[in-house]
Amino acid sequence: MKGCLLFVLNTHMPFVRNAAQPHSEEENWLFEAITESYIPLIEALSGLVRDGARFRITISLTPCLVAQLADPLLQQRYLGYLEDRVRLAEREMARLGGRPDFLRLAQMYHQHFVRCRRVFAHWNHDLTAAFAFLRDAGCVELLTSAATHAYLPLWTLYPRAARLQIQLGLQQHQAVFGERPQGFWLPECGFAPCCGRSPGIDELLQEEGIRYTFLNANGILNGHPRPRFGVHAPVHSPHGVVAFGRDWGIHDLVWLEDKGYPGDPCYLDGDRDIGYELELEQVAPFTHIDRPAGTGIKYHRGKRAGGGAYDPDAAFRRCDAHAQHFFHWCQERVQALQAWMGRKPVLVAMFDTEHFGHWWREGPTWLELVLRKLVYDQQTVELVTASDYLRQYPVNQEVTPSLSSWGYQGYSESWLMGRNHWLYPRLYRAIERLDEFDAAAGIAEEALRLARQQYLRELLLAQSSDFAFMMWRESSRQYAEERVRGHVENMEAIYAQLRRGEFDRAWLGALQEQNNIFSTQMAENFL
Amino acid sequence: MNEYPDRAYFLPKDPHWTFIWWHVSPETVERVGLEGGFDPLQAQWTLRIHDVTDILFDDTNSHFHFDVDISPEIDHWYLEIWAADRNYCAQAGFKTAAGRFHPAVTSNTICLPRDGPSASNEESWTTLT
Repeated sequence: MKGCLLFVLNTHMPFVRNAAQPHSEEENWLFEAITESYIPLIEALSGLVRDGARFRITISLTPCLVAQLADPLLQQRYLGYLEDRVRLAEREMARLGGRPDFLRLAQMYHQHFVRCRRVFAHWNHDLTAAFAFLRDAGCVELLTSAATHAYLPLWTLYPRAARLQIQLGLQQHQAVFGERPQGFWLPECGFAPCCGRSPGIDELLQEEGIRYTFLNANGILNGHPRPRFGVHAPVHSPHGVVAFGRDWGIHDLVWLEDKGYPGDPCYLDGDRDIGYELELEQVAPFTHIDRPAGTGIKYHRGKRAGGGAYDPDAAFRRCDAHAQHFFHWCQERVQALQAWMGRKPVLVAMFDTEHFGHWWREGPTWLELVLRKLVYDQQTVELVTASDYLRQYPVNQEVTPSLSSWGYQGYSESWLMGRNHWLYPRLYRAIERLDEFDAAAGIAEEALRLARQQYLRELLLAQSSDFAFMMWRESSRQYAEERVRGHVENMEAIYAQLRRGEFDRAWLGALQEQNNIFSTQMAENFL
Repeated sequence: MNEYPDRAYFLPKDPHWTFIWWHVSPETVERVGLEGGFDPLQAQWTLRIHDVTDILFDDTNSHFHFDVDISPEIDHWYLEIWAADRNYCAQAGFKTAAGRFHPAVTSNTICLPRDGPSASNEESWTTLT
């Protein structure tokens, strides 16, 4: 083997559970991701395991996603979502009976929804078990991340808050998957070195025994001193955490619509959902939403192909060609790099899992084809995890990585700008008020414990990078603002009760029922 | 949560852009005026940005500083800083007609990232233990 390819799939969903409101558009984000990405990925990787393919891939599962995958209410609601989709596909098969090109697509969706129901049942409705199976099969290395996907460079000003995000993630991973991961996915690849009273994020990870993480390319390339091998070998941070850097060539091929594979005209046009194209009364009985909303059923190929009926067979052939192209591209790249470096380079391919399936429908098929080709058809590129690579190359250059993220322009712009900066002073103040819970006296211990736990939950949920990002993108901005303001108001109310020395236990109980994340970890570890 | 203590938060966005948020209570405004012997209503609200790279800042020893006049009605500012890869802190306060600056609140220190590759190619290598 001449070099290594390290796939990392970041699997994340903000906490969209809303116990008080079934059929919310936001819960559908989770259900769409399960249907279009998680189950297809689990099926693809399980198929490889069944065939005895010796592949290696890394999957990070963020704690807020794991909490929702394991949540009985959401599991029940997902079954209802699938039932509605099966019925909608049946209705579509009846509606499209006279149009064979479209009828076969309705049949394709029907089969897919039925298959999702079968896979979901196979794992007893808890997909965390499927990921544990893939880990136990020796093919997948699982990582965790910050509890609610907080963008950590903006929280290290309050190290206690950043530590809580990291510690809770590790504790949940231990509880669900029975092991403490060696690696940690930094939300948005957000990294900041030590500065003033703010510890470096590598220091926070090192405190918890984490050995490696992943950064955007500029975090490595602008590190100090200059990394000799660029992003093609990991670096040792000042606190001994190893950082791997993202390969931009792979990013462009696999991510970009204009330059890369996903924009091919043979592929499905993900924007043309029948939920937005049919009359509302034709769709609302299945979505239970009184305005146009996504259904997951789309019939047209890419705009550049004229938008005719999608042809799954043509798309598969194109997918195979793209997998072949990627396979050769990686071979050529590692051969060239190996000749220059004198050691095996590592190409780090980092993506959101939702890219494969939800955003690029053919993505799971492409990934499976790539893995099969790499396992069976060549001896140049070795599929590895970070642990595998570090076993081969434990000696690496000491470099202090730079402030960086995989967001817009490589820094903090997406999470700190005119539409979202208001949340930081409010939440910083909320963090400072935690000290007053610690110092509280004369309050019944049980009530204080419950109040503090709920205060922490509200704080953690408000810290999610997703909300600041939605405000920046002006996509679901109103929802994001309402969520953050709601969590801040809940903290204000709990704090006011603390100041009065008396808690409203019924209200706190109802709030805990609504925002129930990390109940086990809270009860066991924090007060 | 309107009861903020005096605070100034200084956050880096990228190698050249920063965000500053501050809150100074009316009591602090009055105290700074009394201690400095000036009328805050007649003084100019000012942000003073200090280069504090590699020093323990004591209000007076920054490598250099520059000032930005601000309106008393605002509580935040986005500020471009020309020199990346340096450490800075910000003070919100008053500048009197005589040109003397009286800080009311001092921020945390930020470290602006480098805006390109490091000039240093000194190498040391470590074994992961």
